[in-house]
Formats: sequence, structure tokens, C-alpha cells
Amino acid sequence: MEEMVFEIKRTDENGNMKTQSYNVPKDKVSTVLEALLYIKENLDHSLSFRYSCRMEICGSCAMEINGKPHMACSTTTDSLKGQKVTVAPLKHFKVIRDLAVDIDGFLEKYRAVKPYVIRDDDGKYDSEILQTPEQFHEYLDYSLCIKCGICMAACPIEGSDPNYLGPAPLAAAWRYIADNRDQGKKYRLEIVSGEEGTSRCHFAGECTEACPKGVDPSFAIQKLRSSMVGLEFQRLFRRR
Amino acid sequence: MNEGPLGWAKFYRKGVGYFAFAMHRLSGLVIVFYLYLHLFVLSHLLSGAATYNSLVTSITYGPYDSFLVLDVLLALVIFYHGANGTRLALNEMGIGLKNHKVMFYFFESIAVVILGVFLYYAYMFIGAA
Amino acid sequence: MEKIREDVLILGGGMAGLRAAIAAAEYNPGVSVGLVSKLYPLRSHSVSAEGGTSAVLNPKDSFDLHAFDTIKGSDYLGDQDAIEEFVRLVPEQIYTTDHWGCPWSRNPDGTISQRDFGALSFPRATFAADKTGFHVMQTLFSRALKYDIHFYNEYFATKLILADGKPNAVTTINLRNGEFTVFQGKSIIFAMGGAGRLYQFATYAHSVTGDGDAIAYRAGIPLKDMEFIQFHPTGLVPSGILITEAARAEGGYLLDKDGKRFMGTYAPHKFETASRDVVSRAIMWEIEAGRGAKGEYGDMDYVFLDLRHIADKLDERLPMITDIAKKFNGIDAHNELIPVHPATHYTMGGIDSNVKTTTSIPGIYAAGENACVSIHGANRLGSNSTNECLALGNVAGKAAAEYAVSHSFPELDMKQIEEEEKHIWEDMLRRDGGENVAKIREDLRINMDKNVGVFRTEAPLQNSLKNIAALKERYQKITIEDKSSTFNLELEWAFEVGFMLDLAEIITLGALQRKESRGAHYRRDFPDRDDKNFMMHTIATYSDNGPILTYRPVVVTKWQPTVRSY
Repeated sequence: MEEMVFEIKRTDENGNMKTQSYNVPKDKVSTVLEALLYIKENLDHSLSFRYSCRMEICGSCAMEINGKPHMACSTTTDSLKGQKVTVAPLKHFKVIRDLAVDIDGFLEKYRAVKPYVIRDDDGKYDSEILQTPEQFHEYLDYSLCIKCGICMAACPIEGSDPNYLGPAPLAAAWRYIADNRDQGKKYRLEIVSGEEGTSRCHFAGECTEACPKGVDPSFAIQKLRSSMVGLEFQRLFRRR
Repeated sequence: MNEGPLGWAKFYRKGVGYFAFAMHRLSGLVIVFYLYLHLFVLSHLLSGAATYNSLVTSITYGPYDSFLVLDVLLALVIFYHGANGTRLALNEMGIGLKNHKVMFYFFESIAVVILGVFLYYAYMFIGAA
Repeated sequence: MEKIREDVLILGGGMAGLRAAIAAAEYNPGVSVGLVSKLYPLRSHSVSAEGGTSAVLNPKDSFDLHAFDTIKGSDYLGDQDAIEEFVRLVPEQIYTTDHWGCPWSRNPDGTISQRDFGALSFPRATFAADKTGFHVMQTLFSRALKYDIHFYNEYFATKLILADGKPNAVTTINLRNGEFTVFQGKSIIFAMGGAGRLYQFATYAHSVTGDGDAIAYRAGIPLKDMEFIQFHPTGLVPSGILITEAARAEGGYLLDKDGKRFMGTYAPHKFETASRDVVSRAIMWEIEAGRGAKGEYGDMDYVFLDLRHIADKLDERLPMITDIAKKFNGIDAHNELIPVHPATHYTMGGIDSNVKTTTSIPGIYAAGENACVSIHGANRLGSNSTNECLALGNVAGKAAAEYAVSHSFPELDMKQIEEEEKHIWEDMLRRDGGENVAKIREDLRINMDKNVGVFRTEAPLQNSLKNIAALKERYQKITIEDKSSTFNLELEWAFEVGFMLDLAEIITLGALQRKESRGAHYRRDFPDRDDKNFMMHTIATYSDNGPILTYRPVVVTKWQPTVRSY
């Protein structure tokens, strides 16, 4: 029977690291997540990782596969070249155990950009707010983020400055600014124009390349910047 | 967790945007380094025209003329950095965002052309004298 | 041992749980709200809901029509008073989530768009492309960040402790560090979802293991109608990933192996958009008659979903399933057929509650798939789950906050708590009989697929009971090899399997005793509906010797049961 070798970078609860290899029969599994479950069920009960929906929508199982961040559930074994697969926890996150990483800091950053519609008439819900299909498509792509953290692992700035807000939170800021139902643009621009905001981005575009859901955070960040430039110009001319 | 600047140097399986980013930083560092070198050379003016002239001549005509190769590299780095910087400035103002990769190649092509012109005149300058 | 107190304690971070948390926080900012989940909220299975959520928004539609569709869908097992009240609660929730930023798909004039769905008599499924659950969840989670809601992520609940018939505490394991954590709430909301992973071929996330149902049941809160398990007609072969009903509502066909449409035989009016139980059975009958395709994906037979003639609609209205077919099966839905087979999709049963979300224990509420109101009766209508989570999550949140204001924390029942702590560390973790938890789980799932599936008969059901008893015995002899305190998944699995075994027994027993066919429950030996004897809810109550089943009549207001055909 044909086998695949999974080389997994493991970390125990005390922070000791080791690399362990497992042979998984190729015809028993079709994705990396299935392979991990196979290992956990049959070969090594102590392997730890996060997983849930197995259809690339819940964002649990982001990890580094063959050196790049991917969702384990949607990475099919057919798409991997060669017999050997290396699996490691997501970069730039603190490892809890094996492949499970601490995403609390990431969610705090997300929370920091006020990722919800801000309206003066909040609390009156007797009809919808009109939104044409054109307005709808202004933000739709940015609303597809599953908070998996892959972009945070791909971003080179996150690697050297852990305080940088990062691609997903900034994309979320733009997602709500671009939504015509929202009136919170000025609050959000103030947050993202701070020292740890858009100015840290150098447009490597790795977040966009890595995103499994086709969100384009690097584009969103540049949009935020141009909005800020626009705002500054307005201020300049108002002063005169 | 924190990779540090060494992380930039990993190009394996990364996109062109990443290449542009990492090279932009490296070229920036080289340019800063050159700025100090430049100031160091200029500071010889304090010791009078003769000292300065002999230093410049030694670099241009020997015995230290191998430095000229570095000058060519410096020009490469500056034009790269300038071209990419122009692209980034435009992108950040929202211009040409959808085509930022094409723009990278476009601006770098311009940089190569300017570098060619520079090299031609530099050669003429040395060759003529 | 860590002890945490919250005025309103919500178990489960899915759609119902989040909606309840927001409602409670809004109702009274002075009330502290804690949300405990074994995952992070956004990892909950609610994000996988695809097609749409029914709401009466159009003046040409009516509440009565929505109620009747639901009742007919439920095969007259839904409580009609509850349904009538429920449908009136929904529209406000759609507008609320719209104000909170949910990207509901739009008409050209900017109003919210609606589409047709299975067994609806008016196109009232409000949708956000085919990611309705995902978008609503993102909206709710983001909105929840606005309030001071305390999220306790990755705490695995093991037991509900009652004292003097009142909620006392919920014991959990903090997966992050293995700390035994006791939560106390003045009121507790159960919103822990269904039990679909009892089955092997399921559209469910791996995490849906019926924890909420089992925890409540073991504490003495009765479960209702557990034998009704919905099978969604179109689970992608071989993974079981959901291919939304909207694919058929938008015009997709079901084809047998020769490329012939077959639904006309089973539902002459509605064809592919008949209710889910009808379509699932039709597919199974086609497969049994040898008209299913086979070969490419292991030993599972399947039929085809044909979307080629609606290829121009895919990118705008069905982007996710197009993407899923491509990513997981390498199939381009624009010009290829998608292999599908009925897959477990929804647990109609759950904690016995009502449209006020109260349960038999004052102070304990239930909402979402975890609850059985019963709105869905014997078969939930497609597009009627997310709206239930929103509408009744809201009701539960308010009710629980109101209850919390006028009640105080009871004294912790340390005896029961210490017993549970001992049970975890000294019993579960130290059992050493050599049985593999995962193997027991797999055998249970195979048993449920085979014996308690779409079609049920006396003998296989009896077999299932025997198998479950044997599995329970094996369960006593498990060995948990992973002794770590950090992120011990194997220990979590062990608890989940225990929960699932209990629920499997209730489901099988309920199916065995219900000698009729109604909605999703189809007995080959009793193929007709029996309104005389079985227009009743099954109520399962815990006892040390296994579940005790009793029956309670269905509430009928103005729709008398008639023949159900689509």
C-alpha cells in the first residue's frame, strides 16, 4: 500500500519541541486534516490540533503545510507534491501544544478596529437599510474572512513586529468602512492610522497570496491609506 | 514567535510582491549605509581641497578604482528603490491598486533603462577623461 | 479548581448562543453575561449553514402561509401554537441583523432579496449568497464584541449540576490548561447544537456531538422527539460536505446514473424542491433500485446533482458550493455533475422546551438546535433553522437576563462538584481497559448509519440497541493514552463518545417504539402515518436503567392533519 510520510513539528505543554514522522496510507485519507485525524485515531493519541467544520469555513485548522500557511481541511493530499509532507504550527503565533496556537491576541486586534456597523439610529430595526447590489459588492469580498489567521502568519511585518494590527483586522476595518450602512468611518480611520496601523504595511502582498477565501487584505490596507490621504487633504483645505 | 528581520530573507515559495518588499528593505539599508559613506568622503573637504581631490582621484583612477564596481551596484540599488518607492506611493494613494504587480515590473523596467543611461554616461565620463 | 460566576451563563457559542448573549447584554447592561464554548464562537457549526433563512418580509406573503409550510413540513408533529408565534418573531431578526451589517443578498432596488427553497409555497428564504450561516455568525460575533460579554473559549462542559430542582453549576475542563472550572449562572441557556456526528456520513462539523442534549438529559431534563434525525438529500460524496438545498431551489436537477430526472415519480408537483425527507427517501429508493452510480468514491452509491443549465447563476448565488466542488472533488459545477448522497443534517429533537425557551427547570433555557420547541416536528423545513436560532436565541437571552435580575446565586453544591472532578481525573483519565475511544466512536457511527438511517425496521433497530449496549460496555474499558493537561483532545473525545452513546440509545429506542412513518422517521414495517396513536411527542427522561419514554399530544390550532404530498 502506498504511504505518505507526515513530518509533524510537535511541541509539548512545557514547550519542548521535536519533529515526529508518521506513515499514513494514501488511500485512507484525502486531505491533510483527514491524515491528522487518522494519525490521532490510529497511530498517536497524543497529537493535538484544532479542527471542526472540515469544509474551510470555520477557520480552525490553519497550519503550516510544506512551509506555507494553509487550511488543513482543504489541502488535498493530491495537491501535495512528493511523498513527504511537513506540518508545523502557524508562524507568528504562540504555540499551545503541537499544532494548536494561541489566537487570542489576533482576536483582540480584530476587536480593536471596531468590526461592527456603527450607526446613530442603533436600536431601530423596523425595516432594512437600502443597499444596491453595487454598494453590496463594495465590501462583500472583505466580509468573507474566516479569521483563520493565515494572513497573520504570512505577513512578514507580523514576524518582526507582533504589535502590528495585521492584515485581517485591517481588512475588517475596511470591510465596515466600505459598507454604506456604516457611519463609523472616522473612528476606524483614527485607529488604523495609529503607529501600529496601516503605516506598518509595506505591501508585500503575502496576505493576499495566502488567503484561502480570496479576501484581499493588502488591497484593503491601501484603500484605507488612500482614504486617510483624502481625509488629510480635506483638513488641509478646510483650514485655509 | 518573533522572527526578526532575518525572516525577510526567506524567499522560498513567496510571491513577487514579497520579493519587491524584501528587496526594498535591503536596498534601503544599503542606501543608508552609502549615505554615511558619502558623508565620510565629503568630510575630507574639511582638511582642504588637496586631500579631498587625492581621495576622489584614487577612487576614480586608481589605485582604489575597483570601488567603481560598487558604484554601479549602488546605482542599481538606488534606481530599484526609487522605482519601487514611486510605485508604492502611487498604490498607497489608491492608484493602480488592481495592477500593482504589473506596475512593479513596469517601474523596474524604467529603472533598468535609467540605469543603462547612467552606465553609459558614467562610462563616457571615465573613458573621456 | 477555578470558580467563575456570571449572572447569565450561556453554553454554546453558535448562532443561538451569540444571539442570546447579545440579547441578554442589551436587555440589562448591569447583568454580566458569560459565554462558554468548547470552541471559539466562530468555529461553531452554525457557520456552515448555507442556503437561507425563512422570513415573511414580502406583503404578498403571510405569517399563516409560513406557519402552514412549517407545519406541513413537520408532518403535523410541530406544535402549531409555537409555530404561529415563532413565524411572527422572525422578520424583526432579519432587519436587526441587517442593521448590524449582515450582507443579505439584495434586489436591484436595494431591498433584501429572497429566494425559493425546498417545500416553501412562497419564495421567502432570505439569504447571503450560499453562506447565510457564515455571514450571520460573523455579524453576531462582531456585534457581540461591542458589549462586555465574557467569552470563555475552549472550555469543555462535562456536567450540569442541579440542586433542589434549581440550576447550581456547570462543570467544565479548561482545554487550554486542564484546569477543572466550575461555572455558576443565575440562569443558564443551553445552546450547544445538535447531535449529528452520531452518524458517519454527515454534513455536520466534527464538533457537533450532542453534548448539550446529553448533559441536560443526564441532569434530568427530558429530551423530546430525538428519533427524528433529518437527512439532507445532497451531501457531497465522499466527504459529506453540505451542498445546499438552494442549488435545487435555484433550478438544479437530481439525476440517476443514466442522467434521468427521477423526482417526478416521488413529488409530482414540487420535484427536486420537495421537503428534505421526501427527497432523501427518493434518492435512497433510486439507489436501492440499482439506479445509483458507483465506483469513483469507495463503496458509496450516489446520484448526481446537475447545475449545468444554471451555470450563469453559480458565481453570484451559489459561490460556496461551486468552490467546494472544485476544491474537494476537482469538479467544475458549471459543466460537470456533482455526486451526492443523503447525509445526516439536523437533529429535530432536543431539550424539551417551548416557544418561550423555558424548560422543566426554572432558570434553565434552551435555544437553537439544542432545543425542541417543537417547531420542526418530524422534519425541519430547509431555511427554518437559522431563523429559529435568531428568534428564539433572542427570546432566551431576554428571558434569562430577566430571570437573573430577580434571582441570586445558589450556594455551590460542592459534594456533586467534587464527585465530578474525581470522575474526570480519577475515573476517566485512569481507565485502563485498552479500548480505543476513536474506535468505539467509529463503530457507533457505522451502527447508526446502518441501523437507524433513512429507512428503519424493527430488526435492525433491535440490533442497534444491542450494539449500543455492547459499545457502552466497551466504553467502560477505554484507555486514554494522552495524559497531558494541555489541550487533551482524547479526553474530550472520551466525554463526547459517552454523550453520543446515551443519545444513540434514546434515538434508537424512540425509533423502535414509534410504529409509524412520519417526516424523517420512516419505518419500512409501518410505512403510513398513524395520527390516531402517534400524533404525539416522544419525551425521554433519564433513569439509571436507561431512558424512560412517555408521550405528549401535539398542539393543534387551526390546521388539521391531512395527506402530505409535494
